[in-house]
This record gives sequence, C-alpha cells and structure tokens, in this order.
Amino acid sequence: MVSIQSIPSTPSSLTHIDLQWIVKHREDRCTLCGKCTSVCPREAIYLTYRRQRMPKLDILRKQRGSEYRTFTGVRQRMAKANRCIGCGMCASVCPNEAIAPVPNGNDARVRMMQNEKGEAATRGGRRNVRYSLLDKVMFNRISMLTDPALDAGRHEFELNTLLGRVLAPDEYLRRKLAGEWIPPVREIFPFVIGSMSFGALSPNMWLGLLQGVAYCNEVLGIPVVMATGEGGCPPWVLKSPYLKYIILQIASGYFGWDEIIRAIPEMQCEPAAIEIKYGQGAKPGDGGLLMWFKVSKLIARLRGVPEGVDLPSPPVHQTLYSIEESVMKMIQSLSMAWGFKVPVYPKISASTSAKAVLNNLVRNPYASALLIDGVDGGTGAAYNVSMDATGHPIASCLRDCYLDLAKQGKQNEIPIFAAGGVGKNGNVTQNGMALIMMGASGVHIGKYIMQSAAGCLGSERNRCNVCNIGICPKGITSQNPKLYRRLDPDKVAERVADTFMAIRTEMKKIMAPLGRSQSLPIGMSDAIGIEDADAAKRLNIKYIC
Amino acid sequence: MSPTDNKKDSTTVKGLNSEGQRISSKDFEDLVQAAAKESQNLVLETYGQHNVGGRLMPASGPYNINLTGPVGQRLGCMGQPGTTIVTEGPASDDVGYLNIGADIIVKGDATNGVCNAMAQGKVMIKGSIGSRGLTMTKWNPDYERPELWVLGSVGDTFAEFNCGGTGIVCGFDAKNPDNVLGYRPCVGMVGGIIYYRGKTDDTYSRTSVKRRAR
Repeated sequence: MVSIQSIPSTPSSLTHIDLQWIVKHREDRCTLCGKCTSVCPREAIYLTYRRQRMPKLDILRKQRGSEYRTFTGVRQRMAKANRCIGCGMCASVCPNEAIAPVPNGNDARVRMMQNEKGEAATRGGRRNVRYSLLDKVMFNRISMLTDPALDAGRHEFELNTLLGRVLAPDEYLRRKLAGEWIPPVREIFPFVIGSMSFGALSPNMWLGLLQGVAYCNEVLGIPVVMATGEGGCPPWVLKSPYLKYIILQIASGYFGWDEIIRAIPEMQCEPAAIEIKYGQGAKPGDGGLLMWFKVSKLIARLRGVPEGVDLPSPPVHQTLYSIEESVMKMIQSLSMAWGFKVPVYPKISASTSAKAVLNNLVRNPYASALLIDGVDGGTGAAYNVSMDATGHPIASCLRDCYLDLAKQGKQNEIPIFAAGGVGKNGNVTQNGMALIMMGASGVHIGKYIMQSAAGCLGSERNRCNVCNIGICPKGITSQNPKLYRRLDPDKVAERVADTFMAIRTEMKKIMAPLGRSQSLPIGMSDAIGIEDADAAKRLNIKYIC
Repeated sequence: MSPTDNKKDSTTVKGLNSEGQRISSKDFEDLVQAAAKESQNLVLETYGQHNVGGRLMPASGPYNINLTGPVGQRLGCMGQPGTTIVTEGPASDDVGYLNIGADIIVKGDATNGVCNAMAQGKVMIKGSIGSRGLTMTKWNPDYERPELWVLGSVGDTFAEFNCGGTGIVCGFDAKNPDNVLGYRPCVGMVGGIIYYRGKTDDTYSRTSVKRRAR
C-alpha cells in the first residue's frame, strides 16, 4: 500500500474513464503522421513517447529480467479544458483508421466538474435528449378506394405556404374596392432556414447558405427563405437582389440595425419579412450571447460595437413593458420602416403563455404571423441548464394555439410557424409535415440544415456542442479563418439545394397518399395518428396501435 | 431637376381629420411622406401619432420638422441623416429609437427609453428623462458617435448595454438633483462615454465602466 500523499489526486482529478469521450488509439496502425493532433479543436490529444517495460519470463531459469522499448503514439489529455468532445475530426483525417473517440459507457464524472471558478456550464447545440415525439406521428388517412390517391412522381403539387396576414374574402374585397391598405403576404416554401446570426455562423457558412437559397429560388423554383438571426446582414447582401430571400431579425440587442436602416435607400428589393425575436426555444427568457472571441473586425462593424467584447443581449426588449405594447409598438415601427409592405411577425419561445401572445396578434391589424420555437430548438451559446430544462415542447403549444385560432374562425388568417427539434433524428420532412398537419403553416429548421448542408457534428449525446467557443471543427460556427477555410461555400450551397430537393420529394410522397395536392395540408389533423395514447389525447389527434 | 426645385417653403400636416378625429399613425405617415415630396420644411400638428419623422431619405433632404401637438411614442424612429426634428413640448417614450442620423430636439421632458438602440445623430432634451435612456446604443466607427444631451437628470438604468454612445447629463434644474444618473447606470456597457455634473448614488456598474478623473 502506498501512502495517500504519493497519489496525485485532487477533488477534481480526472482520468480518461471520467471523460465523456475516450480516444481509442491503435499503436499497430498509427503511422505517426500527426494529422490527428493538429486537427483536434480542443488539443485533446498529443503525440508522445513512453518507456514501456517488456517483461521477460524465462521459466527454465530462475533469473528474471526485463527489457524496455519506447512507445510512440497518441495519448489523451485529462484537463477539463482539453476534454475530448467526440467530434471525430481525428478519425476523419487519419490515413490508417488508427484513432477515434468512443462514447464512454461509464459514468462521465466530468459533468460534475464543469463549474470551475464558479462558472456554470455553457455550450452550443440543443437539449441533450434524443427522443422526439414528432418521430412517432404517422400519416394514416390513406386514399385508396374512397378517393383516388395521387402519383407523387407525376402529378403537380402546390407545396408552398403563405407568410403574412390573409384577409377574409369579404374584407379583402372591401379594402380592394375602397383602395385601402392590404397586408403584405409572401408565398414561400414551408421549410424555412431558421434564424442563425451572422456572428454565430462563419462567413463561409453564411455565403454557402445564401448561395444555396438563391439557387433553390432561381433555378429549382423552390421559394426557400432564410432568416438572419440577430446581428444584421453584410451591406452587400442588403443592397443585393438576394435580400428578398432573407428574413431580417430584430432582437433585444438591436445589433446590426443601424446598417440595415442605412441601406434602406439603396435596397433593390424588400426583405422577405421581419422577425421580431422575443424568445427562443433553446433558452427561453435568456438573451443572445456572442462571446468576445467571435466579435471579429467584420462582426464588430456589422453590429456597431467595439471589437473583442462579449455581447450579451438582454432577455427582454428594454423599451417594452406589456404584451400589448410589445406587439403594437414593435410591429408598427418595423412595418413602417418599409412602408407597411413587408410582413412583420414575432418569434416567441413555446410556453404556456403563447396563446396570450397569439390572441394579441389576432387583434393587431399589422401582425403577419407568429413563430413559436419549442424546447428542442438549437442555439449557438446558452447555459446548459436553460437548454436542457427550460422551455416547452412545440407540439402541444402549437396545437393549443391552432385550435384556439380555429375556435375563433381565424385559422386561415394568422399563420403560425413552428420550430424546435424539426429533423432532430433526421426525419425532417416527416417532423415538419406532422407539425403542419397539427396546424403550422410552415416550420423553421436550423440545426438540421447545419447538419445536412455543412456536416455539423453536434448531437444530443453531447457530441461536439462547442459552437459557443468558436472552435467549430467543421468551420460552421467559427470566426477563425483557419477553421472556416475548411468549409467550402460552394459545397454548402450544393447541399442546401440537395436538401430542399429531397424535402420537396418527400412532401409529395406524404401528400400523395392522402389525396392532397392543391394546397398544403395545414391543420389536416384527421390524417395523422400517434402510437401514444396520452399524446393523442393531449394533441386531439387519433391514437393508433 | 434638383430636389429643391418647385417645392413649397413649408407644408403643414394635421394629426386630426376634418371631423376632429385622430388619424392613425400609419395614415399620418403616408401624409408626411406625401408632404415631404412637396417641401423640406414640415410643420406636423401631431395628435399622439407614433414613429413620426423617420423614413425621410437623405437624398431628397435635408428636412426640418417642427412638431406642435402632443407627441406619440418613438419620435424620430429610424431617423435618417439630414433630418432635424424639433418639438415644442415634452415627448413620450423611445425618442430617437434606432435613429441613424437625425437630430432631435425636445423642448421639454422625455419619458423612458430615449435613444434606445440609436447609432448616430444627436438627441437634445431641454428637461429631464425617464429610465433606460441611451440603452443598447451602437456606434459604427465610419460615422460620428451618437450623442444624448440632457439638461436635467436621467432616470434609472441609464446607458445599459451602451456600445458607443456619448451621454452628457448637465444636472441643471434636475428632476432628481440628489441622483442625476439614476440607480444602476452603465450595466453591461461596452463602449462610449458618459459626462455628468451633479450628485449620484454611486451605483454604476464597476465591472463595465471606469470612472475617469475630472
């Protein structure tokens, strides 16, 4: 027994079985090229050599001896700052399959240590729960003999949705004849690229998304729009014809709006819409947080702030004191900026109070829509506790709101858009169409598009999830040129187009068996069922088993 | 044709219609936009209309605007460079909201949220202001810093999240002479300077700002 003093152990000492990811290295395959250690975003591994004893047992002689050899290879660091995040970049650059991180099946004690210096754990990503209720929804009202089913490959389908307030026919006619103002409405593809800010995303990612969206619109005829998130938009985009594919967001930090307003006289077209962010599903009641190392010269200029400072946005808009005031004041100011010709809608986090907001919008003549973001929405930076435990799932919140509108006979007037966890396990079209049939006019996808179009490695097993510290191994959420050079904008654009073409096909494959082709099946809840009796009852849809 | 040709010296826009009813802010804005095509000097007899004085584009300016009636919220909202707005009486919330260059003069007090998210231009208040003045203010180094001049005192949580605005609080005939900067000013402030004269309660955020010698 050795004395306790000789063991280098402190309360926060960790070994590799305490970490969430364990790097498996095979000495027999390693060529010592060093690519893995140079690509590792956390410097979690290092090249090293060790003296290794080679026991020599000669059973016929009484003497025993030992020989030593030198082990040269890769070892994992144990410091929390260098803990492996499981991104697997080492495996992707290894020429010989000699290294890869594997999830630790043991208890990852590191979780108890992520509060050093009193700082609570922060990360990027979304709620670390892999389950998705939306995955369990099935489309089961199949038209066979009752009414003819359609051919997804041959028939024409109307897949687009409307963003904007749709007046009742009599009111529309009255206003048209009287020459009165008619609210602006956009016809868009129901899968919208959700708000991710220019500060959060790298320039290459942003350019790739924009190129892809332009291609979808101009070549493929899929009217995809993307939202910017807070933090503005580069002036060249504001003054370009691509602005019409962009939903500009205004949030509580008001970052980037001076550049937007300055560009108004030179704009060639109007933006697709204006999104007023009051909350987001990943961190309800908490503001945006752009860390100082992401505030590069370009970002500082766009946001009108000094370089290299932390940029927290307050949880609330500072000059708004009530729902009535928030809705009226902000929607009116932002509508007025473009002469009431651009749809303006609020984005809120799903919550038990969502209906109160919605009812205010119904009574507001300028409100164009409502976007509700559920607890499974992603974010670039938030406290772990906000992401994992604060919020409300999207399905029941959306359903309550939609049924409330239906009760008032207003369900076709104010569109509700849903977000938060759409495509979490890869079933993006199925998830989105399930929400549409529960009453959404469309859905926003953020994390999914990062995964699908740019190869984001983040997962709900807490893989990667380091968007907040600017070391994105794929160069998606970093402002460091060494990292974002890894991301080719042309390839991102190609993948954006691939993604939306596939979603379009899958939408037809869902709609055709339902016998639906002339309009998006918004609120067509008789066509869905779920293998979960409690959820079926709560959502007022069929229970199937 | 230069913008000044064939224009009237001054055009008046009324906030009440011929039946004495208040015109909505949206319709009032349409009237102001139409009037701005006729003249660069506008007299606006407002009746609490919101967002007055924005969207007057610099290319057809400069514009001089005089407000004579009760002022609604967000006076000079998204004001453009080349616009000067003068109101004879006090103003309501959010004067100069998202202003990017208009000069706004209020010959009375202003309430909460003065200069919220403003990035350029000068706002001058002859009286005192309410809470949350100069908050979330921005500054792009290509342009001049935004400025807020207050002759009296300011309310609580002044200059919160200020990113580059200059504030001048003169403490003259202040509403609150014992505390001209209000409770907890400068929280989360990352840029800009505040000059003040008079007593304070010394509750400014030590983690955000440094006090300079007089």
